Amino acid sequence: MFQIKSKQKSFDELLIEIEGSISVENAAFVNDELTRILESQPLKNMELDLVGINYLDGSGIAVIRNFVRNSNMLRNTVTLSNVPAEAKRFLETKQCQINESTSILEGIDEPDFSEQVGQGLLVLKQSAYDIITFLGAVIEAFVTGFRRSASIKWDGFTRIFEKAGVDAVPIVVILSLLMGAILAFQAAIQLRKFGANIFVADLVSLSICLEMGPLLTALIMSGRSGAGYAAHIGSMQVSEEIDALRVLGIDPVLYLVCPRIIAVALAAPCLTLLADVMGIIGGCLVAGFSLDVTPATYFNQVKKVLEISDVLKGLTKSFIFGIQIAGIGCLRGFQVRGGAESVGAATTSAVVTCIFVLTVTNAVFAVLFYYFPRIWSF
Amino acid sequence: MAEKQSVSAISARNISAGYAEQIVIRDISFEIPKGEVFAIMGRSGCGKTTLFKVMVGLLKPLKGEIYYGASKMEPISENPQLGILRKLGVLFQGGALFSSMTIADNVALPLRQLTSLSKDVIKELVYLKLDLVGLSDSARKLPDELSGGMKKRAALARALALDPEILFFDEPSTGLDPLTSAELDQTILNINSSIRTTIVVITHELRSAFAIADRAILLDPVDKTVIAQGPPQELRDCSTDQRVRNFFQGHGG
Ligand SMILES: Nc1ncnc2c1ncn2[C@@H]1O[C@H](COP(=O)(O)OP(=O)(O)O)[C@@H](O)[C@H]1O
Ligand SMILES: [Mg+2]
Repeated sequence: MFQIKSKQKSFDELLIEIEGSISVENAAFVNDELTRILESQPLKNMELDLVGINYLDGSGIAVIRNFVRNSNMLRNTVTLSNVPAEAKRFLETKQCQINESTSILEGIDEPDFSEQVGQGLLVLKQSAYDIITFLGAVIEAFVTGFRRSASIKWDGFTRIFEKAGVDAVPIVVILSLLMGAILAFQAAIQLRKFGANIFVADLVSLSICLEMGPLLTALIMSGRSGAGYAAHIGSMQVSEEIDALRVLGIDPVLYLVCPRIIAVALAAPCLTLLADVMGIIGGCLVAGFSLDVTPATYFNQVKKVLEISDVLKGLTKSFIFGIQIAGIGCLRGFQVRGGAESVGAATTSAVVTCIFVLTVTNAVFAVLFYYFPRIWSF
Repeated sequence: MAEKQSVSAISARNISAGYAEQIVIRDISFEIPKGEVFAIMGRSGCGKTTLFKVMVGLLKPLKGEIYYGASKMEPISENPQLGILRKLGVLFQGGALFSSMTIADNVALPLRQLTSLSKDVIKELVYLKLDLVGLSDSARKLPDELSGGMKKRAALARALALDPEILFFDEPSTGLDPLTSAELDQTILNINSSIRTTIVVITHELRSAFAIADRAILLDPVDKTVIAQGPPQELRDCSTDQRVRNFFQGHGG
């Protein structure tokens, strides 16, 4: 327990006596009390008498230093008397040293707006540069890998493929089924007005196969595989496992990145095909229930409008998306420096970069397919 | 002794290295004869790990060269010297076991990736190496399921997988109790005497350096370079350099 007494010594001098113990448990109260005294008695020179103190730990010392600093800021002088021997080292050198500690906990000054924009651009440039160098390393690894194909063994490939592809099946099925149903439902409201119910099949099948299927699958895979690879390789980086591979003479790009890129690049079209089928089925269900289009008519219409080239366009896209997702995930993992926080940042960054790159690539494909509409048609 | 000094396994010539804008070690040169146990000593933060990373090619030196026999070590990131790497076995400070694989798979990885041995032979070899470090019972455990000392030994088994000519240990005894670390020292000595492996040990522990090292260099965090080299006992007993004496006395003798 503690007690604080303040006594007026003369018209401009205040004596504060502290008794008892100041420790972590009550330091906050003592601090409030001292602050209150300081604020209610301005323009006084203070004397802080510690004679009654029987216990003082680090937080107690911090409270007293804080008091001295605050009163210095109000231009009051403070003298400490009867400082316990063990605390002398921290309290004797008061005025001169106390100010030094003021800024250690405050963050680095935020740069102003233009500076931040500039830094952002530099980061973007660095990011583009990193992606290109990494792409170079991956291509090099593939080339050496194929040249000395006997010397690399991707013993974990089936497991990587299973994790990236097979394990994603349930979520892909559910999401694409719902996506097809939602598309059909939205379309139904409009189409019913014109009695053009049958066109729901056109809308659902084309938009699923060309856009929604590949994109939905790619987004799911960025969240599962892209983020997963960033976290996995990032934590391998932290625990020196990557360095261990390097000194064993195993190229981490060849050993870790190449099989993942191949696995995701192969799994993505498979999942996309599944998503296409499920999406169309989802559309069929809604068409049957709310538009009175029987499954037979629906699928007949799908067969009429949906060309094989449309499906192949979607699959081509998702093949490229797959390469990008695995590549970006791994790249972000390799960029981890430091500890756990950095791994978290890499994971976030992998997903964000994937979404950005996927969107841009999708736009590029849209233009490409616009100018070459007959691509993939036989 | 005479036979040991005939050829240098490793020679470091005027190595300076550091990170970003900070130079950590400056102008370090030494020779490690074949078959010797060589200790790199110095208090924590003086750049032992940095020097070790330069030696195995993980960090590009700012200046200087590392030679293994007659061939020059290049940074792995630029031009991996597979011929040299093949001869090295490295034990990292934290073990660096692949956490998603069992101990046996960890040991088998270099064998599977870098040799064309058959599955059965690899199995035998893995068993032998694990037996050597006393871990044959834990072959199917994951690294997380092992204690600190067992992890170190598992990492040692992996480093020994390809029968390296040169073994590196980065602080093998950190985090181990005195008994376990003495055992590890004994294992290191056994390896050295039985297969004449050249061994480079990074350590700040005097006891372990005295127990195993033929020769040692001492790095200083202020001068950032080698301040003494020679047999550890000699450094302790005969040095007149105040910094060297401080280092040896600072450890409580
Ligand atoms: N990755 C790194 N980036 C920047 N500085 C580093 C890095 N690793 C080590 N350092 C710095 O290099 C110095 C030497 O570190 P290190 O070689 O790990 O010392 P030791 O192994 O002898 O304890 C330390 O000052 C440390 O702060
Ligand atoms: Mg170290």
